[in-house]
Order: sequence, then structure tokens, then C-alpha cells
Amino acid sequence: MTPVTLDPHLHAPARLQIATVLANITSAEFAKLREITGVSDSVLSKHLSALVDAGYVKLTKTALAGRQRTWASFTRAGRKAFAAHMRALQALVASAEQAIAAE
Amino acid sequence: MKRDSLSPTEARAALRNVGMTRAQMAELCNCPPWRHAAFGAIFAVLIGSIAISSTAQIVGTVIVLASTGLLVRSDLKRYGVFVNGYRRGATLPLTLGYVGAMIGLVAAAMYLRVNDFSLWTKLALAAVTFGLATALSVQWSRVFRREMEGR
Repeated sequence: MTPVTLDPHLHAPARLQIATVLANITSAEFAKLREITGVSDSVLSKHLSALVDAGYVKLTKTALAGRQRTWASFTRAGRKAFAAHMRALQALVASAEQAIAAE
Repeated sequence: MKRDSLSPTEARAALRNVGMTRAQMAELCNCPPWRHAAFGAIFAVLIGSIAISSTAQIVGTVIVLASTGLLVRSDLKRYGVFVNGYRRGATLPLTLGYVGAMIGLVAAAMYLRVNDFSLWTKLALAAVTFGLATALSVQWSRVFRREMEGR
């Protein structure tokens, strides 16, 4: 079977979860992303930094209820990369199903 | 180690992971009834104040801006996410339809003001706006949740 090229920045399950959240909303707070991904603060920071370095995510800090909070949002490149990654995953699954049906 | 390919089984697992995350988001965006009513009340104040007089409109606009700010702050604190009403997806037709309805309601409010209709008629228009905006908020949340659940 021909390997499908996927975005290496979105491979890790936690990064795919972060990308899924950011693709559907405008921005998410650090604590909410930690709750959804179920990873520790340091692991989430690493994943977010990697996505920022790739140009996929933008981080902003705002004060809310007397506390400094970090918010993450997708850049245009991040949105496009996630959409392409999803298409590649769906194509991979579809081609596998076609191969099974053809047998 | 970075890889640029996955097996179909891994791809299926990744898609399942995406589906589970979206389902979590659907749960997250389950607004309480008061939140829908607050959205409706903001628009009712806006349309009602436009219908009453230009002075009421100024006061109404200040109230609307302040309460919108409070509502957004409360949403950010409670949910930890910000969702733009104009986001692409299944909710966009609903949002655009509502914007169209709001333009119609603003025109109706101006008509009532210019033609000096009774206060009760103007309040009735505000009540209609409240019902419409509240229903829109409820429906918007439903459509968003359905989209997240992949239904």
C-alpha cells in the first residue's frame, strides 16, 4: 500500500486533539486544552511550543478575573494544515477499506 | 521519532481520537437556559431602545455593550473557550439568517419610532426580538453540538 503523507507536526495524539479543538473554535485557554488532552502542564507547553514553532498556533496572554491566562488559537496555516491532515487520514482509511472490499 | 506515514489502523485510531475530542467539545458547549435568555435580553434591549427614542437608543447601546462584555467575560471564565458566532461550519447559515432578521427588526424599530407608535407596540417588538434571539441561541448551540458529534 502507498504510504499517505501526513503532517508530522500533527502526528502526536495530543497535538491532534489540540488541533481539533482549535479548528472548531476561535481560541481556547491553556487549562481547557489540558483538561481535554489529559496531559500535564509541561507536556502541553511542549506540544503548544512545537505548534507555535511550526507556525500553526498563536499564543496570547490576557488577564481574566485577576489571573494571567494563556489562550491558544489557530493561525491560517494551522487551519489549512489540519484540514489537509484530516483529508490524508480519511484517504488512508478509505483506501484501506477499498482494498479490503476488492479482496 | 518523526514519521510521515501511518498504517490504516493508526489512521483510523487518529480519526477516532478526533471524533472523541469533538464529542468532548459538544459537552463543553452545553449552555444553561439563562445564557440563552441573556443573549435574547441583550437584543431585546437593543431593538426596544431603538424603537422608543434616540435618547433611549443611546442608553440602550451603552447597556448592550456593557452586558455583551460581561457575557463574553463570563463565557471565557466558565467554558475556557471562545467561539465566534461567524465561524465556518453548520452554524454559519443560522448566523447569517439571524443577521438578516436583525436588520429587519432594526428597520421595524425605526419605523415604529418615526411613526410614533404606542409604547406597547414598541415593547411588543422588543418581546418578539427576545423570543427570536433566545430561540436562535438555543438552536445555534444545538447545531454546534450536532456538528461536533458528527450527526
